[in-house]
Amino acid sequence: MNNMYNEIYGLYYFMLEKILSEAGEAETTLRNINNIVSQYGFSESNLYFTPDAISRSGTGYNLLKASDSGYSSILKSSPVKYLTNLQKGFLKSILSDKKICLFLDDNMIKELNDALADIPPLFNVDDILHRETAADSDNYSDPNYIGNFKKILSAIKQKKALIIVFNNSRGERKTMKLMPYKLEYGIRDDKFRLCGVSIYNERGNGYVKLNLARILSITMPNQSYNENFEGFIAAKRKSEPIEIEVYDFRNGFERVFIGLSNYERISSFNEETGKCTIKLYYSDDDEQELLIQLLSYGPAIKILGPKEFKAKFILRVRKQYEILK
Amino acid sequence: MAGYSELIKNFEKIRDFTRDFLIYGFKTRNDYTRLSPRSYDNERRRIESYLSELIAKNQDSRGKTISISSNTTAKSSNPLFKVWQTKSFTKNDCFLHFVILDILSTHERLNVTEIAEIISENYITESNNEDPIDLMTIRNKLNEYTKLGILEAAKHGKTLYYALAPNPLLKINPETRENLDLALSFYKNILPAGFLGHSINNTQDSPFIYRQIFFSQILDDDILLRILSAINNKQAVTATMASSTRNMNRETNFLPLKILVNTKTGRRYIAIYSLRNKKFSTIRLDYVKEAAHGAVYSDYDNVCADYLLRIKNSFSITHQSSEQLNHVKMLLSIDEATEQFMLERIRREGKHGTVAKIDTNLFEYSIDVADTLEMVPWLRTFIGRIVKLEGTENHVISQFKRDINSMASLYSETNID
Repeated sequence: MNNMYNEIYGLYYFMLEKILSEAGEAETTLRNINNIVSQYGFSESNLYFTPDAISRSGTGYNLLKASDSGYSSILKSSPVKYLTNLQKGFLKSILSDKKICLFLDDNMIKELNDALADIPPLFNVDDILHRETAADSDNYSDPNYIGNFKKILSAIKQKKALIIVFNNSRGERKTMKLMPYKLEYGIRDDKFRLCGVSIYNERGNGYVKLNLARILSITMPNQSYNENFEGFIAAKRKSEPIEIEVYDFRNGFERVFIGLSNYERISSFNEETGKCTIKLYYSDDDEQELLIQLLSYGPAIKILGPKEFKAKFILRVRKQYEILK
Repeated sequence: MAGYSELIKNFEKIRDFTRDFLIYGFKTRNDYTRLSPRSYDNERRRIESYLSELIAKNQDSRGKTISISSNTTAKSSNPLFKVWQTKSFTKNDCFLHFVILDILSTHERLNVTEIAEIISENYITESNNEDPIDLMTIRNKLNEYTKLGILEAAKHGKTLYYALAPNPLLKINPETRENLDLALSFYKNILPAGFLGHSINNTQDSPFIYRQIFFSQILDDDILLRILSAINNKQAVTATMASSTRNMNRETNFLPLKILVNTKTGRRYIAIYSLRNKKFSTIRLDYVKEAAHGAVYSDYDNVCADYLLRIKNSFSITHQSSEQLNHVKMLLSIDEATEQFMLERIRREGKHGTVAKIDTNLFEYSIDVADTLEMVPWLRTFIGRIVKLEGTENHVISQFKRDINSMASLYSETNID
């Protein structure tokens, strides 16, 4: 079986392809080459890639001809676009996933299946079992859901506002005008949520998330926006991180560190005590999920702060202690 | 630094470092006792170069630490894809890659001698004419690319001719391609070997972000692909495993049955049937260093069907290994008026367990499972409202209660008023 770690998928080949494409039509300059390297390369690629790309001594890649005015490609045409068996197999695999109908209609799926007719899938998606998932994943075959998904993607692309009618968590029907930012996919609950900024009195009001499955209808008024979402997202971020102490019994370090690896954090280890401390940065939306995740680690961790979060945590533990003692 | 290069030959060299920097982020040079300081410095420097925009450096009493910032919720693309783009190559590899494909793009088919002639006539510049590439090197590259699926080879008479393999994406209509690219921008982050999707369409920005995603998992994707391929072929596997302490390697033979992804802990497992002791088990995917395919197993379908029956009553990863299931019963205090969401959560997350109302604001969750211990982290999420906990695996229930005492004692001095 072919290996995924191969230079043909590498960044150096990718940059050479870009440079050769540019140097094929007309001569390119060292400045353009440097721009490509600084845009796509690793941080030291200018030291290790560029000299070989432009070498005149025969020790480099020998794919560019140098002249006084710049560099031209030795190729007769633009670099060939090819696909390996692994890449073709990956494409074939995604076609059998249940969510593919959100992206491709039946005709498109057929067209791609025909184009890849002699290619076996790289893997069978049914051979991967996700565990500890929630039981109410979204219904991806619902035509209304598919339609809403496509409208949202189209609005994100066109930077258009949306008017959304949805049921809130208490089952009440609500209407919201919103600037869509991204669709958030939750791996554990197999659900999409629409993230965006709600509009009130024609101004951005706050960063919100709506379960896609709870959306009843979407209309797209012809209203463009050019809002910077970062400010609204930052406003949701807690100023003070949660600080925890981690103990390495029953493999506590590994459990806790892997489990929290999807949060932004700073960690340190105290050699004398054998304990780690982690500062976890999080947003309002994560607080409840983090509280129960941290409870799930039992005595492998201790909450050090912030005060309010710590108080909520201790209250739960003390209450439980009193009940079971 | 003499001998340093940005690219490397062997992915294993950076797999563990990248994982450590991302997951732990507190290790210093002194923690890598099996490496010389020079080797550590080289690997650290490479990872700093690959992922420069994500690297945070800290200094504590133990020395300099490197961590990879990991706010996954804000990212549309896994930043660790870059680590897969670091394979080294020779100058000839690179030259032949572009030149052979260029030649074959304008010729329907050619044999190795014809390709060598065209190279020497049309592609040799003043700078590289002193060291021509020999026929064997060109032939090897052609065969390698045939195996990769980039080229096709067919015999005409006694001579092997090479041609570009058709690229199926060049034939499809633009709207399908556009939608496929969108699909790739999503799937590359959630499916195994997503890096391959990224290599087809490597746009960084996409309309998707993710929750509960563990980016470090892609470091094991090459091994994962081998295992998935063996599952597909119903083949045995011989794997070289690192022990959990990572100090020694051992070999094991098994039949891989399924890949289990724990969405809470971030760990991935191979569900296996051991060919040595004829028992089902699981092994951690991140502990597998190498995996070689073995013989096809004739009774694979029966073994797999048996496993699927045994995993039916699992709460998470552990399969049922005896006739008897383990019973767990938990009484919970839930305010019916204001905490319906709690009942909803139990129904969503409680697997095949049932919830029954016992009294006003008092509910009983009960379940029969293969293993009680792996339920414990989930049971702990109800801390503060567990009125009673019982189960047939007494030692687990007792440990649960002792742990509550330990947790309470951690805060015995803390005043929260």
